Amino acid sequence: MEIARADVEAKLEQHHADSFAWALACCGRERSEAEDVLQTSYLKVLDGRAAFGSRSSFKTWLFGVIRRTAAEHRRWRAVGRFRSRTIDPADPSPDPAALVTHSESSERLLAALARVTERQRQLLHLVFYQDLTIVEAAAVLGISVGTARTHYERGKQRLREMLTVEDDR
Amino acid sequence: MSDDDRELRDRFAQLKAEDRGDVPAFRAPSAGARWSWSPRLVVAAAIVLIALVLARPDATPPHLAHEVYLGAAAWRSPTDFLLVTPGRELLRSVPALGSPETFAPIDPRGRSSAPESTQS
Repeated sequence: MEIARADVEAKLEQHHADSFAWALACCGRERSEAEDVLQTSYLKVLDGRAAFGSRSSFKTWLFGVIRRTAAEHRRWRAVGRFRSRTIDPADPSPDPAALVTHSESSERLLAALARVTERQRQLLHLVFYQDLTIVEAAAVLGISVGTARTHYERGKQRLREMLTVEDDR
Repeated sequence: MSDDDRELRDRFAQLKAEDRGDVPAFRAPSAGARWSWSPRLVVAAAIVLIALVLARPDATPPHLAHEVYLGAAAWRSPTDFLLVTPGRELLRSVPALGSPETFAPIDPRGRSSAPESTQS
C-alpha cells in the first residue's frame, strides 16, 4: 500500500526533532553534517528510494535510513578528504558559532559518550535519549538483539565509570 | 530500572531538553531537488557499456584499419631470400601437356593405328 506524500511529510515532521538528534549522534555531533544527512534521508523517503515496509514502526525504520545515510556521507567525506588533503588542508574543527551550549552535566555526558565505541554510543542514545527498547535499537542498527544487549551493557558500565570519575573531580 | 539507570536517563533527558531548543525547522525537500547517482543506475550503465563493447569485438576504427592494411602489405620477411631457389618457377607454374594428337593410341604390333586400305 502506497502512502501519500503528504502523509509521509506529516510523519517526518512529527519525528523531526528526534530524527535530528539521532542524525547528530550518527555524525559525531557535527551539526552541518547532521543537517545534510537528514535532508538526504528525507529525500530518500519522499522519492521512494527508501520504502517503508511496515515491518517495524515508522520511527525505527526512519532511524535506520538515517544511520545508513550517515554512513554513506562518512565514506564520501573520507574519500573527499583523501583526494583534497594535498590541495586544501581544511580545518577539521567545527564552527564555534554552530555549537550548542550545554550545561556542565550535559557536557560531561557528551565527553563520556565520545570515549565509548560508536556502537555503544548509538545504543545508549537510542535507549536513553530516544526511549527505544533494546529490540527496537537492534532493528535500527541492523544487529541481533543479543549483540545489542552486550554492547548496551558494556557501554552503560563504561559510561557510568567515566561519569563517576568526572563527578569526583 | 536501577538507580544507576535512572541517573543516566535523567542526564540524557537533560541533554535532550537542551538540544530541543536548537533543532532546525522542518523543511521537506522537493522531489528532484537533488539528483544523485543511484547505485542501480550506475550498474545498469556499466552493463550496457560492457555489452556494447563485447558486441563488436573485431570492430576497428576506419582510420586504424587502413593503416594496418598498408603496413602488412609493405612488410617483408628478413629471410625472404631463402625462398629464392633454383627451379622455383616449376613450383609456381602448371606444366603444359600438349595437344590430344600426341597421345594417339599405340599399336602393340608395331603398326600404325591408321585404318588400313581395303584396296589391293
